[in-house]
Amino acid sequence: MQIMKHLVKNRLALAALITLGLLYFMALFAPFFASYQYDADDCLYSWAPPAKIHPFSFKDKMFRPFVYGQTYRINDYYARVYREDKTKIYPIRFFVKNFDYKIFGQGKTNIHLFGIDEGKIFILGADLKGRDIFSRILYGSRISLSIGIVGAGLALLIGLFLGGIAGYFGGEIDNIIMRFSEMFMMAPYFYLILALRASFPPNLSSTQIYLLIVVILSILGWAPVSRIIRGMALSLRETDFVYAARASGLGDFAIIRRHILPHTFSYVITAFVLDVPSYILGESALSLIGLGIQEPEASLGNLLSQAMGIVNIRLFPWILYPGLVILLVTICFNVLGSALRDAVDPKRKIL
Amino acid sequence: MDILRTQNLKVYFKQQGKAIKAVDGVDVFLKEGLIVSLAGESGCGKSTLAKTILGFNKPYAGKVYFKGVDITLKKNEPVIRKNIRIVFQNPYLSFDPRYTVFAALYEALTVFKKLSKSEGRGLVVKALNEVELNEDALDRYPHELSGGQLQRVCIARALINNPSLVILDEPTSSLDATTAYKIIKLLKELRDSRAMTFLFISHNLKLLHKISDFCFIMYYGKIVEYGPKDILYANPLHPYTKLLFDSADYKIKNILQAQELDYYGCVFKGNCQRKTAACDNPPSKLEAEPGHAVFCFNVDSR
Repeated sequence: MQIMKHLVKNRLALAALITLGLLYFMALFAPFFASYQYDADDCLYSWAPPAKIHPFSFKDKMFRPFVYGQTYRINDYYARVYREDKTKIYPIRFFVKNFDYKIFGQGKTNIHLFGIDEGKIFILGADLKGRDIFSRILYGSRISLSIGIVGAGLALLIGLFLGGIAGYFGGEIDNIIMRFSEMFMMAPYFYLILALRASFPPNLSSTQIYLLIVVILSILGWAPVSRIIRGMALSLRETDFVYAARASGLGDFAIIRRHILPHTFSYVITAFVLDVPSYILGESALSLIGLGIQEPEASLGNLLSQAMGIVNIRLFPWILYPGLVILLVTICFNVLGSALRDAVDPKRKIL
Repeated sequence: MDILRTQNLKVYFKQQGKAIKAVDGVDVFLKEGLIVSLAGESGCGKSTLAKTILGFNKPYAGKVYFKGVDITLKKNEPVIRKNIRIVFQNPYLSFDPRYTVFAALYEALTVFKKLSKSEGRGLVVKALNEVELNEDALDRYPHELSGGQLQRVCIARALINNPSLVILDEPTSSLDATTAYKIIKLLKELRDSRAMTFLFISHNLKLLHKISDFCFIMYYGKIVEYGPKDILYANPLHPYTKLLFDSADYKIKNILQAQELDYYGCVFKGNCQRKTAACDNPPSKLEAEPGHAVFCFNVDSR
């Protein structure tokens, strides 16, 4: 509760929290917010630019936001040049009917937040295959944002477990676990990701790849956490209340669970929030170079892989929007993390 | 019968490459149903001895027997956990600040037998009543109670599973005089009502005079004198014991100098007024009166 109060006082952190909440909410209900399915391609709209939304027009007697239809011509370099077709006017409607989807696996529906009756609307533009980038970002952030949470959570669990054991028991067990953790910390991070990924077959299903990425990233991420937890456990096990618990006959694992790990909570919550972006970035990096989530499945990383060539960025700058989402998420998590760190720091509570 | 006996117990710590002999060949014996006190200045190894008895420190050498069972062996650890409890000096540090009094006592209660929350509640209330606290304390957090109250809760936790020996490691040092007095009264009542053995560790000789039945005086890891309280207080024999009594009355004549310890000979010889050549040898036990022994070469004959 104390922590929440601090966060509410910190306007920037509150904004970050709300932004993140919104992003995760949109990812959770991606099909509702999306205009099209993530793999719905349309060769008529290859590299279509973001739609210009007009608030109203007296000339066309349209007094609600609308878009014009799009046509293109082929220029001298055989590239499509899109322009608005002023004869076609599509008003933007809310809660329109489009493709079917299920929410949490049940309740079939086809209501979407917004859309147009005919033609197509790409509010953030389309990619090479004419797929809506906005919809793909929504579907992709489902994967990317959840990998951040799941990966950081798994790494923290491993770190808490091994760090708690190492710190509490000390001696040989501590030595073994810490040398083991150093093995993961000394190798260059990115090469280790690649090496681990390479040790699995390339043609896995998307669920398998998802799990694989989570496992790879958390295998590499638990070591620093476990070292800090170990340090805390080392000092906590010398406290009188742990001695008292031992003297009353409580088992070692019960003591770790009840009296050691809960005291690391303020660190854990901060570390968790600060670690999430690195998992999102890890997934993005893997997908960017084609070792992560595979097409046509979307993730923020593999959406960006189309932006690898300078020509694409020059001609179709809207394909950088997924990068903007990654940036936003990373900044929000870091702002929130440092606010949390300040909030749980006992020295600041006195002020 | 001796409920607990240590035999030539040695606990050494390594510090900057040197061995610190915290406990160096200690033989103590605790008679059942008595309050046995262990007195000595800070850093003389009292608490280390307590922690070793509880199995938290591994002894370098020697044995600890609880009713004839060697509890320094790892396999006999359950014997310690079932029978020996400890109360620490600072009650605020000996409770996990995250749990209520009830949670702490319930946790101690359910270590050996499974009990539902409602069954446990009755027993916890009974345990609290025994230390003169009522149910109001049950759902409080440790920081919401006063030092004296919390120390009572600590004693209640120590007693909750009916141990046969309770070690009290300076239980009144962080309490004010009146609260300390109440705790002492409580302990005496408990000794009489439950026939428990207490090992009371303190540096406060006046307090020990009030409470204990049998005294051990410890100095730098060694027992220098022991005996029944009345005899020992009436006739202290070891120069260090005398000094300790003097300092308790603020009658101290010479302040103890920091000294290079000679672990082989008498540990006190550096500060001893009556040092002789014989003090370079390990002092042998001299039984002055029945049950009253002193480790010194130059004892006054009365």
